[in-house]
Amino acid sequence: MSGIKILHAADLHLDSPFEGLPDAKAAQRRAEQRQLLMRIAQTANSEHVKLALFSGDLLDTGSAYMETGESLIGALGSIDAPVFIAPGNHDWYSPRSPYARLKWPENVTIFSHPHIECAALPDEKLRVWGAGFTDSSCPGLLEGFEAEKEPETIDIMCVHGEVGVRESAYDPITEDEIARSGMDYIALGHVHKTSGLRRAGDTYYAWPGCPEGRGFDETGDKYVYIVDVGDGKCSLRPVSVAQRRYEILREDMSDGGELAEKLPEGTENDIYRLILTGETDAAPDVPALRRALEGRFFALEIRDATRLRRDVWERAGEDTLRGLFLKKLKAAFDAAETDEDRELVMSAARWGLAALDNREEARSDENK
Amino acid sequence: MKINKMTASFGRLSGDAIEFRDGLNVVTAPNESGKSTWCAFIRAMLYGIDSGERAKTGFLPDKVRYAPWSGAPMEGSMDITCGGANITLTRTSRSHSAPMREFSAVITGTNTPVPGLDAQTAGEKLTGVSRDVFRRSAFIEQGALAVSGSPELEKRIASIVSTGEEDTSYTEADETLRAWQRARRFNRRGRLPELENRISGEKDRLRDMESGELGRETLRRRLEEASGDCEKLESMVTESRRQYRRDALEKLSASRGELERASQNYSDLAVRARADRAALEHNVIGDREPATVTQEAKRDKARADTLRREAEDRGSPAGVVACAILMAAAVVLGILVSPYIFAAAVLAAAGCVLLWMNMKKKDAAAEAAAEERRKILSAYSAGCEADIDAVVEEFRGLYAACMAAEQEEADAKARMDAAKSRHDTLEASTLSDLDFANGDTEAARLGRQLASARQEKERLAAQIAQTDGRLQTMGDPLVIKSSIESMQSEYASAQREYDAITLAIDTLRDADAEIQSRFSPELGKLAAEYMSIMTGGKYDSVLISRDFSIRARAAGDTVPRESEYLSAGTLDLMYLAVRLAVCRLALPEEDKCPIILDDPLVNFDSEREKQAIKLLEEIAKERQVILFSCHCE
Repeated sequence: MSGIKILHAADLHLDSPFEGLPDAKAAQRRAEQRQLLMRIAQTANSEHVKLALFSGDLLDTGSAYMETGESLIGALGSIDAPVFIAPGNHDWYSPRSPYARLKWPENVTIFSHPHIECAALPDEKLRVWGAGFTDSSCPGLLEGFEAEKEPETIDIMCVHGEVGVRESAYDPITEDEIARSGMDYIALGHVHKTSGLRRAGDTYYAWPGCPEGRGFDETGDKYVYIVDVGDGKCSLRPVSVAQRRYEILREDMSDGGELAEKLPEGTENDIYRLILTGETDAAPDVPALRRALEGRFFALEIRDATRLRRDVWERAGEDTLRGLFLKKLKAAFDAAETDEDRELVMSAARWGLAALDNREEARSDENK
Repeated sequence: MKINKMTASFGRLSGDAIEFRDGLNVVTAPNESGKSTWCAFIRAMLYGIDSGERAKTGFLPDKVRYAPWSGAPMEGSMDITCGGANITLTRTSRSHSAPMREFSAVITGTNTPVPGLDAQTAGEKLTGVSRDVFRRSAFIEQGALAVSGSPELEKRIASIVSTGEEDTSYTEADETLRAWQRARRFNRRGRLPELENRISGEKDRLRDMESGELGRETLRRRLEEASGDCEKLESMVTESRRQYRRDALEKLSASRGELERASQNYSDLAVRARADRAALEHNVIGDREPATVTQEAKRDKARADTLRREAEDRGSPAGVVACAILMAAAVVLGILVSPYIFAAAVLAAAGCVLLWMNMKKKDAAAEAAAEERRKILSAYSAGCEADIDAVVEEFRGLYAACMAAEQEEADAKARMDAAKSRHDTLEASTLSDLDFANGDTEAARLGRQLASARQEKERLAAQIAQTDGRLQTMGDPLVIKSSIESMQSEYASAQREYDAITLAIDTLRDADAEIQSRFSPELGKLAAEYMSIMTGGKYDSVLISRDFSIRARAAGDTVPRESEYLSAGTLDLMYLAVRLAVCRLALPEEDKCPIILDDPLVNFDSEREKQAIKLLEEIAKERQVILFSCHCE
């Protein structure tokens, strides 16, 4: 029994909206999404994998749009290896789902039942097991499952589920179940952060996370896995296919230094959320900052989380309109119970001071 | 600051001069003697003339109104004492369009310029307040006694009652905040409603697209069904047409064989009939009616019989010979016997001739009969009468055969015609059977079904293409979703701003109310004091709100009276009291500027006027008061 090479991807969430992108950029990302699919296919082909596994949530919803379906079919059809899809909680299998409605290429197999099935590939001495969600939630699929080992045969499983979260509504899987499954490798999906290679008993398992971030909850580098498994051994290599990264950066504005100089270089392809922190006299001029940083990021979202400098509050002691205004807000600030309320009071103080000082409105064109 | 002396070339004033002293100056002069002009002149000397003002209905700008009647340039000088220094201010005009623009300030009696004073800022520096505040406080114009607010005056008044800076105006800040708030939401306008509309528009679009996608799915399924129907019908149609053609061909070829056979039979019989007729026609009798022929033959035969007998009845020469013998005997006897016997010879000769002639006649008749008989017989090609019957018998045979053949030919023709007509009918019916478009056969019905199924398929395909096109023009749903999300985040942030601004507005209002709760009583208290003095204690309470609307309460009343309810005199008096209180409280304490009053007492009765003058005298102890009046006292 010699090892085989597998491409393992999951949680593409196609058709979910892109966060933090204006129309034109979103349209560009849409085009890039097609390229992402093609890059995954190309990676599979250039790595000469014997199997390509997609462990669920390929689509964000059950009502995939025509174009997405076509791109997906085109990409998967171009992979020179059998492709297996295990529908997940977002793209669960139903007669109305794209998995049932669209004409899939011959090399693509979709697990459409909520129990583990075997799709044998006899020539390869290889068995691929899997199951699909048929609803937005799914009880543990591996519960009580045990494959009868056959000599000289590699057993691989492709399934969407969550390991070690007993109360999970998304196919909770325990390490015991994995160890008993008799599989050589279990290709999982669901969690968007990459797992690295794990092992329970003689069974290896992993989830690659999403291959490209789609929002600020999916920051950093993203991968698909190239897995070599066989002879009781397993190795795993993350391969980056993403074109864009989402990153969140906090910058302290207290010292009044030039923001542009503090930011990292080489971020032209990335989507950044810049959170301005620290204590300042006046609210930062977000539109001006945005203009100054234009071109350094694919897209940039600036959030002002700066706080009014402490000494501004000190004028709350003055016996003037300004002083009384600040005094009342200070009282409201101290009485506020949530961060949100405190932020509101802080912001009100800033607006009021700007009006009293006859300053221009600083944030009127944000996000336009 | 106080005014000592003025010289003016201004309106009706043409180089006129006027002097003032400390304390209360009452300038009494009749109407149209230039009192208001002097007032305007003071303002012009301090703050200059705003040459940007334009004339409009009911309003003349100062540069026009006070252009010197003499036609000389607008100019003048004013000697003042300010900060302990005597200063001469001079304003002249270089052009009519920019009057009083040239400015100089020197120490009186010298050419030493006073530093820091220029055309624009002189007034504010000298009085300590802006033109705006000056007009609303110390400068009490005729008919403009009513008190009105301005952000700056408000700042001053606010600072009366607070200890801090005087750089903030509630009204201004409130207005600014409200403008920011309005930019976000004002009824159905502003960024938030705009975003709401756009978001709901985009959501509608997305819903449209989703239903469009669903519609397309349905259409596709129906198209697939229609394609299946088409295929099924196509094979059914092909099969049924094939069957129909085969049946039609079989029927037609049978009918054609029948027709061919009938036509062959007919042509055979026609040949025979033609031969029989030829034989008949070649017959000696020819094509004649057999009955007639029989009758004629019978008659001809009888006639020939008669003629034969007649031909046999020839003349006998015996008589002639007897007569000749007799004659010869007579001659002999006559020669021999008597000549008389010669007479007998003559008689015998005559008898002989007669008898010969008779015999000849009989022979000719027989000859004619024989000839006629021969003719009759030859008409029948008969040798004798008996042959005629045979000839007729043969004719009758031929005739009957010919008739029979012709009858048979006619029958065959009728059969052939019938077969042809049958064939034609069959051909026509087959043609109509094979007309799969219009016929009513199973094949034609299926054909029509197929045509309508194809039509349905085409219709669906067109509809899908149309839906595709429509969906394509609607844009990319993913882009729309992203855009909705981005707008929603913008909406949330704008909503946060709106809430913060609203909170700022509310808080600022509270802060202002607090200030106002302090300054209103103070201003009101002083004004009430003044009013009480002027009304001899009749009104003892004045209530002033932020917008300077004023109410006064008579002593003993519980409810203050709105200004509308006060008499013109009392109203003027109340305003004057408030004005004086404003001057006292809002104008700088240092180097107090003079109060200029242009006939504010016209509506006062003499008692109140007296009291007012007394009050002004009191005030004039602290600052110069210049009162222009048309009253003679």
